[in-house]
Amino acid sequence: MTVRDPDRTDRLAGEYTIGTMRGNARRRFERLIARDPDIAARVAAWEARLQPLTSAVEPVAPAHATWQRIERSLDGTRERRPVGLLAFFFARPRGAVPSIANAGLWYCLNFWRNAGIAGSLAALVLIAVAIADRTSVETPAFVAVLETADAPAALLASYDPDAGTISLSPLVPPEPAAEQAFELWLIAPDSAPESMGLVTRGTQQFALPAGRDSLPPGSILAISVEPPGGSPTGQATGPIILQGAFHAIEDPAP
Amino acid sequence: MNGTPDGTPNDTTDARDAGLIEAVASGDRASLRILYEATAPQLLGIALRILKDRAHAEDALQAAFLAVWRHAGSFDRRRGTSKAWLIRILRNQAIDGLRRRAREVALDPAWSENRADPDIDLETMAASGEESRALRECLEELEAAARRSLLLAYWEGLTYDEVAARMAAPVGTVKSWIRRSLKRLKRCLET
Repeated sequence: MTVRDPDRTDRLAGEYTIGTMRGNARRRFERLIARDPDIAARVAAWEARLQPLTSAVEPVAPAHATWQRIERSLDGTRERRPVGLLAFFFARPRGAVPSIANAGLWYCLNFWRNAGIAGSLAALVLIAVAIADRTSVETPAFVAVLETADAPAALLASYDPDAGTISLSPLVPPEPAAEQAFELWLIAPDSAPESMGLVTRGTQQFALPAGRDSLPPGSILAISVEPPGGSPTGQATGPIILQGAFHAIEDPAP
Repeated sequence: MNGTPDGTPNDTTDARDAGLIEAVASGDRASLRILYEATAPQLLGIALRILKDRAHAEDALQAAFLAVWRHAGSFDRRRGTSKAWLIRILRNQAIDGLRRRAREVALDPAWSENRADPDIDLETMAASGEESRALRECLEELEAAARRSLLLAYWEGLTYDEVAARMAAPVGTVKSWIRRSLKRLKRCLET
């Protein structure tokens, strides 16, 4: 595309969006989208114009196996993180931006920045206490650190397999605005998010959702913003402000 | 991706999904999982509409989420909604799947004969929201053959040559139908 003719660019953006553009032409055009804001904007405009076509389509719940296949493929693309106690804190980061998903807690800038230095020390003590508590029992313990990039808040969750409870301790408690509540969700790999109840200030114990007698491996905890009293629909209705995956503190048996 | 019941985009949902994609870009697997929970059913519906086959549609969904994992860093919320970005990735995967499949079933003419006419989508669009109604009205202003060509390209991932074969019309004619339709649609939706 040597001469920039707006009509032609717009036509190409439309042809890309409806899908008649193919093969090399399509790949070339995708590179142009990536580096030319004008072309990207025209494609975005075409996508917005045609999007109602897709909103008429009925949603279909995917098979459970599909997510499991995605997860297995992810394991192929990135190393598994070590799960030993030392690794939990000190594993070297494997992503450009260290996060609890790819590095030890020590390297997670977001976590420590959010917590602040004084908070960090308190957090470290809290985690150490929680872990010491857990490692004294024979069954493996699971902890999750709930954090986000932008909320100045963090929570530590630990799962007690004997009691079947999850305890949630605020490291830096999230602050709800007026007319807001925080709701805790368990997201197991094989099902939709299940509400565990509302999050209040201070350390709380939550029972596993009805029908579950153990924590499914690969579970995630998330906290969403809801109206006072919690989600009216049984599904998260507001934005997720905090989330984290459970990690085994001891290496699980292979 | 859960729009409001009338099908219009939901800004809060979109901001949440955009935040999730950005977290996925930094390698956060939990965010990918939450994004999947929120968006996979609608994406699978679209894949199924294009591919007409559950197993192939689930394959396209899987490929799309792997692409989301690898390319989340290229998402830029200033350049469009998270929903449009996800649908683009899904459609690219579904169209690739369609082309692989077309090679597999090239010897079975019944496969393409049995596919639903994309015009029926206009009926279902009637009930769903202001933007859908505007697009439907603008589509209805096009000549029937031009509209059908455009919808065939969109929903069946056909090239100009393939649309021409399906419409039993010369390629040049189909090309100008579709290009003229794009121009008219744009003008119609702007007014």
